[in-house]
Amino acid sequence: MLARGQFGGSQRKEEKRRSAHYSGGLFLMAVGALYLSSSLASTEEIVLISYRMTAWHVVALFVSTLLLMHGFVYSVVAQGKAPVPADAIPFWPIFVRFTVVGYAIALLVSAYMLWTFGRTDGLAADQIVQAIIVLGFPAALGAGAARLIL
Amino acid sequence: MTDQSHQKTASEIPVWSWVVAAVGLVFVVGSAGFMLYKAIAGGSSAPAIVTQIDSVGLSGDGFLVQISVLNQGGSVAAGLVVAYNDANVAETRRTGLQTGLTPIVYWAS
Repeated sequence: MLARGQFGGSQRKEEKRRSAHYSGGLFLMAVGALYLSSSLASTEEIVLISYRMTAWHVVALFVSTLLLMHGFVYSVVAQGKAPVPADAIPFWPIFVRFTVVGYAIALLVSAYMLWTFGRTDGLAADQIVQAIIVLGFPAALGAGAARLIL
Repeated sequence: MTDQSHQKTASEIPVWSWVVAAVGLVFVVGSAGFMLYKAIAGGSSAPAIVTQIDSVGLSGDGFLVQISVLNQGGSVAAGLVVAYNDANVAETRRTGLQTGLTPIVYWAS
């Protein structure tokens, strides 16, 4: 029982440590996304760029940003800064738990910043999504860089 | 050995992080799906400008006419200028390059 208690306790402790590490990483991503997107969301260029892009351009930017994000995440995992062993987990869990979540955070922060600066006022839904994805590029860059550097 | 380490690592991942991942996945896939639908559906119609008078009232020595200009088309109407019949540009209080059924309010006095 003692052995089980000791083992269970250390396992719980380890799980808590991993949880804290993971949530801390997401927090850093949000801070990085906020840092870069806040200075760009106030400008008119982001919305103007989104106006000039076709839907296929936006899809291409979406995929590029996701790949960029995964590049940052891969660097983080390779450097041992993520709470996962670099060689023990296959591609998909890392992609879903870090890359996709990081990009979702970048998009949410972008949406919040655009709304804060009134850039979504009077826009149709598809143009709001386009503007969010355009601003999501620098936001994802900031999120990835913050996770890698900090 | 490798399978054991895989199983051990997977069991160490907190459940809530998978929930966060699922929410993030839904959000990202939803955004991508929406833009893919727009890209595949394609065929945005040309801008269709509709002007309507909202109100007419006295203002100083003249009149204040509030009009709304709506772009009901499927693409952006860039460089849209609202002018009087004597070709002077109306004073604009709020302008934008919107599409859809959203109003652009212009003030002309």
